Amino acid sequence: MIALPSIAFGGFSGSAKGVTARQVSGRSILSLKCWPTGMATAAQVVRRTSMAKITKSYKTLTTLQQKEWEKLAAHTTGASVFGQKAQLSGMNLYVRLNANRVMAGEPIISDAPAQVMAIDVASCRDIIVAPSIVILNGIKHQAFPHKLVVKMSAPVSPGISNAWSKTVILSSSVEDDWGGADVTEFYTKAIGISPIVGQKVFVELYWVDTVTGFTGEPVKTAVIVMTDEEAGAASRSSRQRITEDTISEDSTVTECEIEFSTGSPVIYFDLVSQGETGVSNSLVYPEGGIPDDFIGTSYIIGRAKDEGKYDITLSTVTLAKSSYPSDYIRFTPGKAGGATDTEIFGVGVLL
Amino acid sequence: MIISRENNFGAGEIKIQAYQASNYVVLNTRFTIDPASEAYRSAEVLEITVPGLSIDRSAVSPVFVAFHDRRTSYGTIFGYDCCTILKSWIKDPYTICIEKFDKFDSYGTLYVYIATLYPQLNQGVNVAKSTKLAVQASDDAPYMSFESDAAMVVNEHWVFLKCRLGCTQSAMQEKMWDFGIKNFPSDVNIELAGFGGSSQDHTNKTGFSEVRIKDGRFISNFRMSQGQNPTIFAFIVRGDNSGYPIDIMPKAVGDGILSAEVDDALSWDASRYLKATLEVGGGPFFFSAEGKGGSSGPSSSNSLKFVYNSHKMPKGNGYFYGRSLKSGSLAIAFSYFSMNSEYDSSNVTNICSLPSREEYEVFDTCLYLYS
Repeated sequence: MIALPSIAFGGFSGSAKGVTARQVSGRSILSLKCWPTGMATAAQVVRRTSMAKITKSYKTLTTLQQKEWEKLAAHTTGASVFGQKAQLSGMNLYVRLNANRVMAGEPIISDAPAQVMAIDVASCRDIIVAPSIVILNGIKHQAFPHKLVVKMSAPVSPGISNAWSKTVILSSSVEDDWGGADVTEFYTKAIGISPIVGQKVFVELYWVDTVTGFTGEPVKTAVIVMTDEEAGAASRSSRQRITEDTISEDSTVTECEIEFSTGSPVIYFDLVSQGETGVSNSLVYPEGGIPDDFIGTSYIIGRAKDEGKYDITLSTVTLAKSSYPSDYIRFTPGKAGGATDTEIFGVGVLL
Repeated sequence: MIISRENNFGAGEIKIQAYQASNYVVLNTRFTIDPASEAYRSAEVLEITVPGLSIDRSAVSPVFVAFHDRRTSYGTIFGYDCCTILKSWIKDPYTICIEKFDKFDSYGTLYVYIATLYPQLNQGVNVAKSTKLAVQASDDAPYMSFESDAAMVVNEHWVFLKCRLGCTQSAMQEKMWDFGIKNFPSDVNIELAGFGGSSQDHTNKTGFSEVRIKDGRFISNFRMSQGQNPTIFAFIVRGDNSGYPIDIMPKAVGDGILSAEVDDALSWDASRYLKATLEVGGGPFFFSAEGKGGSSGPSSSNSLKFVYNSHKMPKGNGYFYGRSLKSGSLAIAFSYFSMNSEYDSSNVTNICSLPSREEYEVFDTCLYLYS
């Protein structure tokens, strides 16, 4: 059903030939009956089934529960059209909030939340879209129970200025890795095709409070799809770090995370050092080398990881350029006492 | 200074020195834990609740936990104290977490030392190099030595120190070490964990000795009996908590409010004075004023000074309404009060809309505006 507010049909009510006119809370609504134009996707079927279930469940609420929903709805408003904001009914609000909760993987709630929640607007530093990479970076964190809803459109012509109605939900529970979220897989699954270089993708983001179901105001933007090479460079410049996936097999550490983008005068280290056979150093060989800005010395402490060992080690960290075989990060000593493995974690200044 | 609100391990009030930047914090504190307490035993993660931090989460950083093992032999006390490091992180703006570690519980009281920087990741700005300063003992402590790559970074708000304390004179080996470090700031007061060495009595553990810094002066009073030289690795806050969240005001001890009396210490000229009691509350910073003043006139200002303030106040200003006390006048006084330098109660000005020399009374509450 499509409901169109109408100023031309004030006072009309009733249905004829697929058109229904009615008055709702002082607004004239003209509804056009519509029929699905194609096969519903699996996601659409799930969503429609869920909505139907939620709507039906409202009748199972007690009178007191329904009154509480009405009471809360009196403090909320719906979309504003022609300058008139729609007043939500208790049932509208119940369906709306529970639809958001179900979308985020939460069960239906029967009791109305105690109050209307103000949810922060989503904020994101970069959105990088390429045929093989779709990532968001610099997401301003919102603590649990907030989850980020990401909606994107299929690639469209760069000349199109408004296609946010074409966005679909990629994920309703994006979890960011310190503000970075890789939604490539979600995009491919939801949209069905990869982004096309040079075309435009429309993006909508908002936070949902999974406890109450309230959402923040959506943020809408659009990005031009770049090449994979451009995306890789943009991603690396946005966040400088070395992870388990970006070190060579010759490295003698595991669970490696070294971050340079701390926004402070320190490098972050989090790794398990295993030490080279016969020597106590540990070495990390980043596959992309080490940028010149990070060449220097640091210090970091760690502790033995072996069962029953609690020794502390203080390592001098050397970040160096080399051709034999490549740039490296060396921890000296790399091990605590006689431990096999040493956990190194925390921050060190770069000198 | 941050005063903890509560904790889940029965430790009582914890005072924390802090430097809080927009994307990292440096925290310093020392507190004890009774491992026999029910609260401690029940906790799966140790949590300290604080009024509010400038960051909403952090990556993992190390803190020290130590136990004392003191034994007396032939009238001499020997120390077999040990320590290790634990993972600590900021879970949300109000919660500092420390991993639960029960391997030292059988040794009695646990001593926890926090002297660490809690970072955030993916901040869009990369690490910048710091200037390394040499670590050299003050001239009055020629017996002190440090390793060749000892390092110190002195920042406006905190200091990083990595050094191993050594003694070059055997006569001083067992005595108290009281020394300074050249270029080390004097506005540092902290108790630090010094670690190093081991003993056959506690294999697989690292020796521990506490090192104190008072007004920038180092004191090492009691060290491991094996003569192990304690190593310091710490991020240390300078000053008396030079930065705390300005939207959460600490509360004065006892009253639950901050209060100050403002007096024009420069002159008691009846035409230009303001004597008022200012009170502020926690949370949103409401600012109440009650008192009398002589207007400076709208074109000039009075310089004022706190004669009493229970706590430091951040830079900012407030506006008050009052009324003229001039006979027959119904004029409203609009008074502007400004704290012009952060935490400097001698740099306060007041402007009033009434004509110069007209007396007025003020009784109003406003929202303090930070500047």
